[in-house]
Amino acid sequence: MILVNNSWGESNEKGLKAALGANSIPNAGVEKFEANDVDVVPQLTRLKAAGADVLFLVGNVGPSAIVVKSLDRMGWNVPIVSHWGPAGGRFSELAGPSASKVHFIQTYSFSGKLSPKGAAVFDALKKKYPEIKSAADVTPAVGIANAYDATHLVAIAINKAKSIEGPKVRTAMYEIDKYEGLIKTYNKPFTPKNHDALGADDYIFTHFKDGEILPLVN
Amino acid sequence: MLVIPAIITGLGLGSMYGLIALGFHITYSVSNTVNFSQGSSMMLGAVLGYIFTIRYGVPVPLAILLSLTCCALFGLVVERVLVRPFAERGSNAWLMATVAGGIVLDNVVLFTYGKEPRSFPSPLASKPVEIFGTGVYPLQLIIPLVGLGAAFALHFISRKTKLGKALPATVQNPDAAQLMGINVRLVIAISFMISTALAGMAGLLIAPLFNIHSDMGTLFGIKAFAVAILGGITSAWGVMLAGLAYGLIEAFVTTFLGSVYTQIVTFSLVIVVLAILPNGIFGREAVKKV
Repeated sequence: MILVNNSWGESNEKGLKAALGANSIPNAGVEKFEANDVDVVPQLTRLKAAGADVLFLVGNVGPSAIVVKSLDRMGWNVPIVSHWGPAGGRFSELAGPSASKVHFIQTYSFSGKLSPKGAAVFDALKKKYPEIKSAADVTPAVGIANAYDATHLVAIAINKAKSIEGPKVRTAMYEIDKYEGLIKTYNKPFTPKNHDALGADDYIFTHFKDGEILPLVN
Repeated sequence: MLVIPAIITGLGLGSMYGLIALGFHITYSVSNTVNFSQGSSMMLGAVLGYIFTIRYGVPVPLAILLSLTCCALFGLVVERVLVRPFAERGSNAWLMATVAGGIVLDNVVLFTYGKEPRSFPSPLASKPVEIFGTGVYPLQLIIPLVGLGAAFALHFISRKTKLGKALPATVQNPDAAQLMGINVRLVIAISFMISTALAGMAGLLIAPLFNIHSDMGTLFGIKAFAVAILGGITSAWGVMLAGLAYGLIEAFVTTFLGSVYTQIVTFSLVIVVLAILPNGIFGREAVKKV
């Protein structure tokens, strides 16, 4: 594991250790970096010496790029599975050609063939923010898509409840039947036992290619 | 296997700390004040280098010259607005004023340059060359040479030139120095300009290895000040060598003890060294001639 040295990195360390432990997979080591580190070769050298054969990376776009550049300098070609942090900026520009080696999860990408809803949202974004020229300029795409759908779901619930009181809105959320969102069409997204409208099937592994986030295909 | 990468990383980082710390040395030597926005000056050099070359396509040598000139002008503003008004009244408020000046600059850059980190590609930091089995970017070899060259130049000026010998007089007795024909205010202003230009040079050098953003200099500024004190702020060589030592210790601690211990060990070491040697490793207690 190569993780940012803060509470975010700490929580991911616990989660990853638990997941690895549940599958009886030992970890070679856990290394931390500071958000403003220029060079993480010493940390990566320790992991390589400990026999790591894959890296779990947790960090924002800038530090993640430094990890990739440090791997390039070492000449260590190792698979990298990452938190979606690199999607929060211009990862291809910062990390260079090796950016595409980092695989991370997303719920949505504005690249490729878009649904009518996706095309409409993308056009609206370009109209409101002229600096957006291509899908590569929509950062972080997953954050925008999640926020877009979440805002609409809450709005539907408020309309149903005709109130903004928490308990009433919550009850109204359970009554949402169908909403055609950006990420997917939500059918009965919330129940008293399920407060997460996105499930395991809604996540895809992606990588950067020429500045755009594309799904991984075997 | 582990030692060579640690040395390469340590020397690269250490010379950056040393280069910024030299700025502290210069202003302290002529005015007994320092500019705590040195980290922001470093960021300014990198950001301006990016803007001139990438956004406006200015040729690199000219972009470097323009960036360093702007950094020097920032140093002039720092001295005129944030240091001189307080220092001349015998107040130490310049300390907080320069910290505040750095924060203001960071935020001005955040609003104008943008919040997204950007890349400053360079052919000197794209393909590593192999030295003792370790990949090294050519720029990582150039940075220590620039740092040592700057330390040598400052040492030479202070020890071998008439100007260098006259500079301590501006600290010891500004009135007498003025009577002897030394323009004290100008000398101090120039020292601040050189100090921020050095930090800007550090920013330009590190930009291709790092990500350019508005708070990239914060931690560098803090570490550089620790280095300046550790080396003995009155000695250019001391400051540079302390920078290299600090970088090497950081890299060795990370490599052999683990990254979670890096900051604890290095900053604890600074405290221990200063407890034993209050004037730093190479510094001397000020001698006032009467």
